[in-house]
Amino acid sequence: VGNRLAWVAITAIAAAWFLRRRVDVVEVRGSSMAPVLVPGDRLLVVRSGPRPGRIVLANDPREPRRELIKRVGRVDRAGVWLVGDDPSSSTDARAFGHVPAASVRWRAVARYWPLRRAGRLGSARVWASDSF
Amino acid sequence: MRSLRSLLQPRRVVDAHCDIPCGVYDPEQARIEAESCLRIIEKHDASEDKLFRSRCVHVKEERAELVKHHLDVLWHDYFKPEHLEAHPDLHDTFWKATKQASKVKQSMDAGAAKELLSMIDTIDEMWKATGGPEKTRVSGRPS
Repeated sequence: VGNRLAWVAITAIAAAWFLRRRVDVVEVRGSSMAPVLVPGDRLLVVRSGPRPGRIVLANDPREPRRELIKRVGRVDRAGVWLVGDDPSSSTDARAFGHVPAASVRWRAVARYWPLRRAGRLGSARVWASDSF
Repeated sequence: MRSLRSLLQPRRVVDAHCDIPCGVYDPEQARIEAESCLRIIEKHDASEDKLFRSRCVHVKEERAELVKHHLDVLWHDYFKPEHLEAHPDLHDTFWKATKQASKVKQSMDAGAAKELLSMIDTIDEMWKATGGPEKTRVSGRPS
């Protein structure tokens, strides 16, 4: 019986570890994704590559320790063009250019907090301008 | 229960980042400069001092230039295509207001300065109607 319990425990830990690498929760700071995301929103994120229209996490190319949340404008050979939903208060690809596709590894799929605004986060078309 | 809470408590903070505290706009900034123009013109007219009068002309031109600058910033940076849908006369209003600011820069006509103030007030209404005060000003200022 002890043996079986040990296996259950190991499996559970492995599953949790695996899940943790695939699924995570994050809190939003800053308002460049307003009105969709506002500071304090808590989101469920999953491992996923960049696709146009998605809200993704990416390391700031100018300061890799900062993890950005932005929307994918387009993906091409130069990399991923990230933009904020609120262009007038967003530092994004217009300032730092493309980011490598490999630096976009998480996608925001849903908001779970605050509860009254909980729900799925869909894809959206991105405003076209490349300038400020 | 505690573990569920800790599961939902994010340890990762992600940044919807903006480098500078941008996004603060208010037609009040243009209005204050335009009010300066009007007051300076009035002081100019009330004075006999040649030196003072020439200083008035100089400072008023500076202030009128600032009015144009602040209006331009609102026009290019604050107002968006969707605002134009709700206010189709937006471009025309800004064009006329900045032209009026040029007129105030060129002349010593108090009437022109008053006209400029009322044009800025029209822009202020558009700014308010598009949610400007809530969206662009930092809240918490004592009223």
